[in-house]
Amino acid sequence: MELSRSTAKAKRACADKGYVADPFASLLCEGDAAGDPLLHRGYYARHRAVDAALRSFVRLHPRGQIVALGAGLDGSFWRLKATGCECAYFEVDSDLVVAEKQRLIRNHPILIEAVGQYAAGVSGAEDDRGSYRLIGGDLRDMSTVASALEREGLDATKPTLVLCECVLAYLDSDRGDSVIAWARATFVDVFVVCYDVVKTSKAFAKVMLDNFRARGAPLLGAAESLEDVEKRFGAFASRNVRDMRRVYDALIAAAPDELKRISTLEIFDDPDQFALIMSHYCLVFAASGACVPLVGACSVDEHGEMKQEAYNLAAYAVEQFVTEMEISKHIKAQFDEKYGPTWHCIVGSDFKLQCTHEAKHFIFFYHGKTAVALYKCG
Amino acid sequence: MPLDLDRCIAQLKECETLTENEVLELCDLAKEILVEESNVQRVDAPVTICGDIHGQFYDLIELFRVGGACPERNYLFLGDFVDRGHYSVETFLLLLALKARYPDRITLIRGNHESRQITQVYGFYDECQRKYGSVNVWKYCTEVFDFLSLSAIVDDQVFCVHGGLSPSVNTLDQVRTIDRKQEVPHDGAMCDLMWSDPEEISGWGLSPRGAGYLFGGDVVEKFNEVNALKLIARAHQLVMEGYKPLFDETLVTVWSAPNYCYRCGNVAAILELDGELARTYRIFEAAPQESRGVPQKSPAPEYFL
Repeated sequence: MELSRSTAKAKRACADKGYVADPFASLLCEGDAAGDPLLHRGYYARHRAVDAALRSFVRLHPRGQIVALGAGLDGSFWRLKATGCECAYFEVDSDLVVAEKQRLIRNHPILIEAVGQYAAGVSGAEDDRGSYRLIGGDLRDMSTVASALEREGLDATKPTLVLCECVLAYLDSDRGDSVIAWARATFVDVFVVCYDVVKTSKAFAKVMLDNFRARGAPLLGAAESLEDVEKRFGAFASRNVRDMRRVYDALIAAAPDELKRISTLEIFDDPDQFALIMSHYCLVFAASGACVPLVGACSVDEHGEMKQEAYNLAAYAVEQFVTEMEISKHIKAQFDEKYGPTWHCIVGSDFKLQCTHEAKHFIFFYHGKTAVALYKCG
Repeated sequence: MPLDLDRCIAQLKECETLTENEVLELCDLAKEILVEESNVQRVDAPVTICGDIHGQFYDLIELFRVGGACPERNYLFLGDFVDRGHYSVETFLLLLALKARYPDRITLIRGNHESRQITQVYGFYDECQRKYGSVNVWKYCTEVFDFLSLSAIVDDQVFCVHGGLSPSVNTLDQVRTIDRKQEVPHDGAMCDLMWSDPEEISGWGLSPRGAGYLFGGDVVEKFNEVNALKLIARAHQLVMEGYKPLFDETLVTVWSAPNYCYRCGNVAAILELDGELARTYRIFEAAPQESRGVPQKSPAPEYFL
């Protein structure tokens, strides 16, 4: 519970300081949110990465479902809902956290309105069921949690995003593995987004483990290394594991305008410690079935933003337009406008391509069965 | 009756604060001494050079245990006494009381955290308010900050500064002409001395800190040549191993806050220069828990949760 409150405070601080636009963070957090600029930046990087993954999933699978394990007091459901998302959204956390979240929801009509009275825990409101379910459960006992999810309407046949932010590290490794195995075995089309601790350096990790233990929240299953994390998700068809230092560098440090914007928000005097802490967290994308393209779409590299944009546009265009011509015209026009001319986009299920393009301005990927090639030249 | 500095020092060594009036008196005494110091304060070897402390009081006591007591040993602290740790008040006042009592045996120069603006973000301001119920002590201390010297030079050969070099400074004489009695500015020579970092680049680069610059080995080589220096000793950057020589040992980073922020798991170091300026690094770890007196009620170190 204490951890959930602290996280909510940090997310609120991130919003209050102007790092992220999140009107719901302040509703799900009581009390002042101060804190260290270093933490704000770290939460901000995590928010950017996770939020992008959620949105990509929703765009690709608008009728899919999202399961947030150990969701705490997070407000992602409301942020997605505000963008018109209709995915069913299941959150699981301890009974205590669930009760607290329901209390906070009931305090704010705007929160109730989005979830419906039933999810807000208003008794006798069985009929007002929205797309949101808040489920009390203990993730150390995944089979019971799984049954509860099923009772609340989780549909194993739907494409599903499973979100675990800072969950696995608190579970011992066997129980953590059960969570991962459940996600893999339950759904055909599944996208796991996981943000977790990794013991990159011994000296830092030792103090970290001591500090969490002293706080009453021992890190029983913190991964030894990125390779270990990758192995844990070995049963998925596609995986991408990055430490958060790399994610931050690719997503934010490499975007001059964004870096400039956040530099004006508050004094930040700790690049060394920041890099150290960020290198002890990692971001995992793992997928199977129809969710596989999301792994590539969400993985960040030095051109992460542009790549992300291409995948998102393609997903949107494939949904919106019928002919390949229309799809390619749409993507091309959007890229010309955003990144400057001249972009060329080829969409189809069977083509060969030989082209001249500017360095690092070529991308080729599949969206479902449709192949997309996008490159800049001229 | 004048302030009994020996009593103050004894009390502060036990991590007991002074009264508001005593702080005011101590600050006035210190200012009288500091105002006489040069922007490039001359220091004689042998001397022990220490990096950031950041309010980690018990680790400062450990530093003195490892390095020897002041005034028996001659000390030079490179700034960043306050912020982040739980005991910025006690840490800064102890160092200041030692300075007032033994002005020739301890030199304190200014770090980027000895600033009104930074201390309001990183903890010293809040700590003063919490411990005294007012911000008077913060006001007295930040006034002293404006008097702290910007750098030091040991036996005309080792230039000591908190951060590093500045593109607007080629010679030590240019440092000497800075009007330092002010809040740390956002740019310019004085700012750069406290904010810059060395980096494996050539020439100058933009700093990720948003103030100061990155400077390369060629910059150091030229600066050392022009000013007939053997070494630049600086602090400002966390080093897991406590110290880090760069550019063929013409520059060294000294970091003296072990387990920085009670979170980083790093060791700390001090640099001893003997009479011939030969270098010995002494490594130390965070003070053991049992020496930290009453159990801390301070908030746990934060992580991403």
